[in-house]
Amino acid sequence: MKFNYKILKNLVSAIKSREDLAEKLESHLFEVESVAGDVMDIKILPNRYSDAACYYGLAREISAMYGKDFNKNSGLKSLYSKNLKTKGRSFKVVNKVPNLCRRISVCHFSGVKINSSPKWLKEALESSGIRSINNLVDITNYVTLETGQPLHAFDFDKMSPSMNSGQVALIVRQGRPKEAVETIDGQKFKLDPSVVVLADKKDPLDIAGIKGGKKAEITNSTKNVLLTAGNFDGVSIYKTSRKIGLTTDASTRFSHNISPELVGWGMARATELILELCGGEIGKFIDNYPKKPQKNIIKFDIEKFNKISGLDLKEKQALDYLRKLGFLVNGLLVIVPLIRTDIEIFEDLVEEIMRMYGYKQLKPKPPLIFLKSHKQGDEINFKDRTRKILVNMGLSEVYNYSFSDKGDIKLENPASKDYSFLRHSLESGLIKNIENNFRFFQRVGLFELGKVFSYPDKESFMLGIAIGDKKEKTIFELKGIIDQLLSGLGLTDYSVQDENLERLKIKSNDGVLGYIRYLREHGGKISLAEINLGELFHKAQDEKEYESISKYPSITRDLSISVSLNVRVNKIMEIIEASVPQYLDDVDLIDSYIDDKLGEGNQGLTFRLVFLSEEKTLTDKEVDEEFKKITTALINNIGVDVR
Amino acid sequence: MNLEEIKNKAVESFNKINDLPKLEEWRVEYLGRKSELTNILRSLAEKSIQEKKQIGNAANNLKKELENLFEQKNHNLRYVSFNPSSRGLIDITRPGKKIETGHLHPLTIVENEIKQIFSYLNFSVIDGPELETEKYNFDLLNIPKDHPARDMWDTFWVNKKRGLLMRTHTSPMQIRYMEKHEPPFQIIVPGRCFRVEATDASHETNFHQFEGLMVGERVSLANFKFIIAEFFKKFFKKTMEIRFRPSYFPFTEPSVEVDVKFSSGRWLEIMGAGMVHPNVFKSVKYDAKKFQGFAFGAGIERLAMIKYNIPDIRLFFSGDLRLIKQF
Repeated sequence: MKFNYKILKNLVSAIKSREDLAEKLESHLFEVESVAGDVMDIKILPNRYSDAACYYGLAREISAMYGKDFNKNSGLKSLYSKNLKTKGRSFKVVNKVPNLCRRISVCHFSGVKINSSPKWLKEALESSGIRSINNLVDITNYVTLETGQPLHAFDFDKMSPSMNSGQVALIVRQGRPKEAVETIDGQKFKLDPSVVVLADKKDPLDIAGIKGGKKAEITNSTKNVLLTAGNFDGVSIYKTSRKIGLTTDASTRFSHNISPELVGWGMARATELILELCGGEIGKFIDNYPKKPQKNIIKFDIEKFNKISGLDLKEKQALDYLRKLGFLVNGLLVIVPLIRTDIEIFEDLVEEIMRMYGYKQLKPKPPLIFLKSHKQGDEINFKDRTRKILVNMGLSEVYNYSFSDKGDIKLENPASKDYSFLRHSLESGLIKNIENNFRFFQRVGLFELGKVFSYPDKESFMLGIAIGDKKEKTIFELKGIIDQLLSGLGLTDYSVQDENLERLKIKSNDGVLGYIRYLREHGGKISLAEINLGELFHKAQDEKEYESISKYPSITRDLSISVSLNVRVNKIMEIIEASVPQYLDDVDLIDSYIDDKLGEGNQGLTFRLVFLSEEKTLTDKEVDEEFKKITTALINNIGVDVR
Repeated sequence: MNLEEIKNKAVESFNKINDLPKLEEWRVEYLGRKSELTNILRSLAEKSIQEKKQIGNAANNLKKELENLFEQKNHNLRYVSFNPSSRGLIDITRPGKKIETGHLHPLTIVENEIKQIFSYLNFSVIDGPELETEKYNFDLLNIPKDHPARDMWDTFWVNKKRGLLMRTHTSPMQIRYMEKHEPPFQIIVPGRCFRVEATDASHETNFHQFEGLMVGERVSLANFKFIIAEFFKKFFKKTMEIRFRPSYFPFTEPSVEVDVKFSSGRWLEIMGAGMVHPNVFKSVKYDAKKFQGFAFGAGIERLAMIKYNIPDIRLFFSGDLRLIKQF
């Protein structure tokens, strides 16, 4: 919110300079976003709209920072409470929604002269980015800047009187279905009962607390005026303002639940300025104040203050800060000014005192605590280990958005069409990453750890791994990586089974932990795996156990076979392993080829078999027998040709 | 052979030499103990003074000349036009091979560092759900419904009717943790959060935060100042000047903004913090008269950007290995 330095300086003569003021404001009150010439852009905190989003409020705070008192408001109060003469036309005020309109003050002025504003007033408005209209409207806007109370003036002569009595009434009521109001800027808004309006006997005159209406607008020919200041329920204004898509200075202020006490100050100050700048005479005045707020009294406790803050202040010192800010202090009882809607509990007073004393003077103190052993969730450790293993195998980590263009769960208010779902897989993000990185790298190995979401509101922690190579197929490397990862994480009991021609399942016991995919659409140059890390965490056994190392040498035999291309290698390996030769220690595929000599539709495969005994040195004869069992099993089961 | 002939022959064969073994042969032949030149020099003893002077000078000059030639070529072959393969050696001054290694994402690195520093300070690390409920994200944190304070957190809604949303901060974990644990404790919660933002160099719809919470019977704001000063000192590897500014969060009272001063002399806003609001303690059924504590939250991207001088927050989600491989 923009404020003029000169006006502040006028109110608080103790202010030293712009820089000093900006620094003080930042240390004790609000952030100053910019200082441009005399215009200071001050960021009002959301809980301080009631008391500090105006010149008087700021001046009160600034005076306290400079150790001075500020008592501008008391003068205004006396003017307001003066016995006002009741000249001019009679009118009445009807408040039909006392829960939503906590106060409405109305005053009649007759014989005003609408003119352009004096220079000082125009300038004051300009600093805050408000366009000058005419003296009366400018006064209402300026008084809002001074006191924080939004005001509105109606042309009395344009208001429809009652058909029966001929009397003008200002009615605060709910909008009616099919009713509409045209605002002063010419926009039309449809009304309904959730919208509060000020109305005459016939029509709504404005959207209460948000924007004035066209019907009784002040123009150059206006002679008689109803000046109004109201206070409206914050939630109601906030909802209406959002619903009709209209946010104004007034709606922002009311949304923050400002105090109805401000009404009095706003009316008094505006009255003073109208009589001074527009002439005319003051008439009947009505103050409808159905819900006067209760005084909030908080008992002060210096010990508690020091315990929360970690400071060591004396009671008098602490209470003095509150006094300077306009709190009444009676012994240990602190009476909160009614405009301080932000002050509810003792802790709020702690903040007031601390910020005025200065956080700068708060000395760091090591906490006194019982030592407890630090805990990092096992699952968090598990993720860290996963990352470490993958990085050690040369993969790099990426982060992708949790939003995607497909998924089970749709966002109600997505940022864009491409990101309108919660991702249900890490796949598409990783594929996109690989394609993008192919512009700069020949080989790309990536992984991501992240949440995915599935219907209706399930959240799972997944690991995605993708390997791309512009020239080579990468699935076997990926499978190797998965093997290393799973055993590195302590999962020994798992298998990789083919689900279809392009997809393998990673299974452990009965559960599927994830899958490995050969991306045919990418010519196999990208392959990808996704593993449910949450599930894996529950299955993986951390502890490894020593297996004795054989003292005897191993014997290696290569087995070359020719077999139909329809027979898949995992089937062959299953048979080799299932033939359970006593001394078979390891099987690996070391070569595969296609050759005319093998005959059409056949493939040549070479396995390396390692035989080992823990008890003795194997003889060739023993190995030959084992080898024979394997070849027999292969021939009998799938009719391979052993070469 | 006279000196003239020796010289011609030596120079002629010298010019054909291009490796060290040949050069050595040449040296033996023309400068060795059995070479003709050595013979001539040796035989000088038997010659007259006149001859000694005449031949001796010329022979010594020739010897020097040949020795110079030898030294020069020896140096050249050995160090300048060295042919490594001939000696089973290679030029070890060539640059090292580029080794492909994996890299953690910079946000992971920063998050790990944060976790580690707070672990040293006896904080426990926990995490929580990203798909949250309105109750935990707002209501129980003393953020009233239909209040403009909620504008501070522009929310991605999954199902507004059912109160399902993407958490806008890590603070819901304060509630979830306190519901299940009794003070005293101190925890940090790193995690991903979401806010409706127009993305630019410093705003992202997906981002990461870490939340801190310490509760006990006498945990004060001065204690927070100590903890956070320790954190920044370890994180930036030097003592950092920090300051608190008044702020407002519905779930803390008092509330402060924490700024850190950098060598450029600029103060940067790094985190929001404060003393836990008694209403928050009430929502988890703690005795608000007995317990007090502080809470804080900061953006991990922001810390990473400052630490590594990364100019644009969007880079973190680009998947660009040219960024990631730098860390």
